[in-house]
Amino acid sequence: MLDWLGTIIKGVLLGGLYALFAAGLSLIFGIMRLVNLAHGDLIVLAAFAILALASWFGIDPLFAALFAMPAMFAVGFALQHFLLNRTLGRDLLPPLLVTFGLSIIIQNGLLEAFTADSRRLRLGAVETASIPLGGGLAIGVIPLLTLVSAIAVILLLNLLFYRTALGRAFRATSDDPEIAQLMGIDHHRIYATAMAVAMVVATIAALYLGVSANFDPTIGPARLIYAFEAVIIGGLGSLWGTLAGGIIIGVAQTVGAKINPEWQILAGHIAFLALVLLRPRGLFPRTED
Amino acid sequence: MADGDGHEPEQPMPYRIETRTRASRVLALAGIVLVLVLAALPAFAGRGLIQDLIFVFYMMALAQCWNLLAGYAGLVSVGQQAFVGLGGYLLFALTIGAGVDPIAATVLSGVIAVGFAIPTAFVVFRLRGPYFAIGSWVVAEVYRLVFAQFRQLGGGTGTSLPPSVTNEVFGIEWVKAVFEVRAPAARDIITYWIALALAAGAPLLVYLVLRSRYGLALFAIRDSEATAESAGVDSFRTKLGVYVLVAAATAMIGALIYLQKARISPDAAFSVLDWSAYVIFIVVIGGVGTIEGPIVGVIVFYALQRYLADFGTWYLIFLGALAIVTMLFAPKGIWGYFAERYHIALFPLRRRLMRR
Amino acid sequence: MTIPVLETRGLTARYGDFQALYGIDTVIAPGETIAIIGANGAGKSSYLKAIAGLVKAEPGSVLFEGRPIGALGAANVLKLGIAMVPEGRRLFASLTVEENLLIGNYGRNVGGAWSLDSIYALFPALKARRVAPSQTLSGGEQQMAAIGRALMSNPRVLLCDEISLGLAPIVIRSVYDAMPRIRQNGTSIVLVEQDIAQAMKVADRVYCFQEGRVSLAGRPAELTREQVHLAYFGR
Repeated sequence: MLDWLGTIIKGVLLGGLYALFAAGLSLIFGIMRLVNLAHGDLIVLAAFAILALASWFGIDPLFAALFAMPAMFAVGFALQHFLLNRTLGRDLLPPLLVTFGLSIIIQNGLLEAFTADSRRLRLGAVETASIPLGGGLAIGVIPLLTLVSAIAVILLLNLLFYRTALGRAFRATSDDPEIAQLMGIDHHRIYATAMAVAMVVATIAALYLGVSANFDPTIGPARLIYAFEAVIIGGLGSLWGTLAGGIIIGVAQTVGAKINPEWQILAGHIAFLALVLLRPRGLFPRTED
Repeated sequence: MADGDGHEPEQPMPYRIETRTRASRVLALAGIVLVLVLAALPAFAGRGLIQDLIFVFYMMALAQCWNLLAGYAGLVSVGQQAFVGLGGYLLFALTIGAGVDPIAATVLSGVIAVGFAIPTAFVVFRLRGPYFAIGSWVVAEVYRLVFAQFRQLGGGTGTSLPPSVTNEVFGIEWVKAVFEVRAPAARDIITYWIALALAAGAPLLVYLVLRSRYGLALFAIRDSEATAESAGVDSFRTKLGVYVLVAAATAMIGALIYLQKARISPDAAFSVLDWSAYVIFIVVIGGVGTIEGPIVGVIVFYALQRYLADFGTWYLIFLGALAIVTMLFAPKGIWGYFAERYHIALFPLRRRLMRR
Repeated sequence: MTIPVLETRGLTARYGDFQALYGIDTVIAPGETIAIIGANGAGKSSYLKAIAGLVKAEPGSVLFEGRPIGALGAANVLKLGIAMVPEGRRLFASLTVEENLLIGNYGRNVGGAWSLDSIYALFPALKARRVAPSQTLSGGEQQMAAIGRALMSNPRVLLCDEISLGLAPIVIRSVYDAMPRIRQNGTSIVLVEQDIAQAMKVADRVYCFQEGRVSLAGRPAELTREQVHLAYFGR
C-alpha cells in the first residue's frame, strides 16, 4: 500500500518535470495556435547553453541558467520575429514543416557543436539528496524542486496573463488577432514576446532536465511528445490544466513502470488516449474554440 | 421564356461535365508507356538502380497516400508509420507464422490492416486539427511499444525473414531463369515489380477517388465541413472511408518495404522520421493537395538523398533549411508554385461545364 | 475653412479578384456625425475597414487631418486616434467586460473624457456586469461594451459598423441614446447603418453607397424619400 503511495508521489513529481516541458508549449499553442515541433529541441538547446556557460565561466549550472535565460529570451523573440511569424495563418502544414525543419537543424547543429556524447548538469551533493517522509518513503530534493518550480512558473505566468496589461493583450490576441489590431496591438510583436517568454520557461525546464537525467542532442522529440500530451489533456489555454496533464502522464508512467518496467512509456500514452476519448477538448478548455 | 412562376420550360440538359483536357489525354498515354518501360527495366538495369527505384516507388506511393489523407481529406496525420510498421509485421507474421506466400501476404496485410484502422480511427477522430496530428503520432507510438512486446516477432530488437521465405517467393524461379540471376537479385526484381505496381497504382487510385462523387464530398468537406454536412454529406463516414483506405494502402506498402529489407524491428518499422517526416517533406515540398506534387517531391528527395547523404549532419541541416525556405517562399510546393503560375495540371480535377 | 478630420479621395478596395469600392470621395468635418447607408454588399463595411486599416488602401486615399494614412495598419491607425466598433461586436471572449474595456486603451493611452468610470456612467448596465465573461452578455450589452471599448482610447474619430445589427428596436434606441454624449466631446462619428431611420435621426450628413460608389450625399432634412430610395436600390 505504502509502496503504491510512493509510486504515485514519484509520478506526481515526474509530472512536475513534464509540466515544465509543457508550460512553454502551452503558452505558444494557446496564444498563437502554433504546433511547435521544435519545442523539445529548443529545451535541449537551452540545456547545452547552460552547460556551455557553466563550463566556460566555471560557474554553477544554477547561475549559468540565470545567464542563459535572457539569451534564450532573445533567441525566442528573434525566432518568432524573423521566421515563425511568417508561417502563421489558417493552414496547419507550413508551421508544422517549418518547425520540423528547425528541429532537424537544431539537433544536427548541436551534434556538430557538441558531439553525440551524453551530458549531465552537475549540482553537487543535492543531486542525490532526499527528504524522508516516514514509513520508509522518501522524495528526492531535485524532483521536489522541479514540481515546486513548475507550480511557481505557472503561478507567475497566470499572474502575467490575468493581472497585467500585457497579459490582457496576450489573451485578446489569442481570441481574435484581427480585432486586437483595432486596439492598437501589434500582434506580431505580441507573438514574439510570447515566444520569448516561452523560451525563458524552456530554460528553466532545461535546467531540471539536465540535472535529473543525461541528455544529448537527439532527445528533444521524445520530450516533445510528453509535453504535447500534457497540453492536450489539460485543454487549450489552461496552464493549470497543463500541470494536471503533466501529473497525469507522470503518474500513469510510474504506475505502469511499477507493474512492468517495459510498460512505462506505453502506460503514459494509454492514459493520454483514454483521456482523449473521454474529453477530446481537454480537462479545462476555454469556452470557445 | 419564363412563365409567371419563374419556371423554365422543360429542356434536355445542354451541358455535360468534363474533367479531361487534351494535355491530360496525351499524358495518360505517355504514362502508360512509361510504366511499360519501367516494367521492362530489370532486363537492362543493374541491381543498384533497381534497388534505388524500389525506394523511389514506395516513397512515392506513401506520399500519394498521405497526400490523399492530409491534402484532400484534411486529416493531417503524423502517425502513418503505425500502418507501415503494421504492414511489415503482418507480412512477417503471415509468412513466418502461417507460411503464406510473400506476395499474397503483402495484399493480405492491406486487408487485415482495415481491422486495425477502424478502431484506430474511432480513437483519433475524437481530435481535430493539431490535436489530431499529435494524437495520431501517439497512436503510432503505442503500436510501436505494443509490437515490441511480442517475443515471437523479435521483441524490441526485431527479427529477419528466413531463407525459407525469401527464397520461396512466388515466381522467383521463373525470374531466376529468365533474367539469369540468383535468388536475392530475383527477389529484388519481384519486389521491384510490386513496388512499380504500387507506385503506378497509388496516383491512379487517388485520381479515381477524387474524380468520383466521393471526391466531390471530400472537396466539399475541405472547403467547409458544416456546409457540406448541411448539403447531405456524411463527413464522418467520408473521412473514415478515406482513413481506412489509406491505412490499407499504407500497410501494403509497409509489407513491401519489409519484404525488401527482409529485416524488421519496432524502432525502424514505426519510425516517425522515415515514414512520416520524410513523407511529409516529400509531399509538402512537391506540393500538397495535388497529385503531381508528390511525384515532383520524391524526385527531389531522391536526388538529395543520393548525392548529399554522405555529408551526414550537414545534409540534414540542409534538408531542414530547405523545408523552411520552401514554406516561406513557395508554401504550395514546387509543383504548386508552377501549376499556379502557368495553370497546368497533369491530373486534371477541375470539373468544367461544357456545351453539348 | 477647417481641415476635415477625415477625408477619403478616390478610395478603392479589393478582396482578391472582387472589387468592393470604386473611388469613394467623402469628407467628415471635426465634430460631425456622418451616416453611411446602403444595401448589403454596397461596400459600406469595406469603406470603414479601409479607413481603420484592416483593408489595404493607397496612402493618399485616406487622409486624417490632412495626412495620408491609407497604407497604415490597423494598430497604427488606432494610435492616431481613429477607433472602430467592428461589425458583430467581436468582444474578446476570454476577457471579462471590464477587461474588454481596459484593452481599449492598450494601444493608445491618452487622457480625455473617457475612462472606466465615465463609460460605466454612460452605460450603467455594464457596471453591473463588469466581471462577467463577455460572452454572457445580451446583444445590446455587448454592443455597449464594444462601443465603450472603442471610446477608452479617447478617439478623435469613432467608426461604428452596423451597431444596430441583430438588436431589438428598443435596444437599438437605448444604444443610440448614448450618441449625444459621445458627440458632446467633439468626437466625429461615422455610422454605417442598415437602420436608415435611426441613422438619419442622429446624422448631420448622409452618404448613400450603391455597388461600391457614392450614389447620394446630403443633409437628412434636405433629402426626400424618393431620392434615398433611388440611391439605395438604384431603381
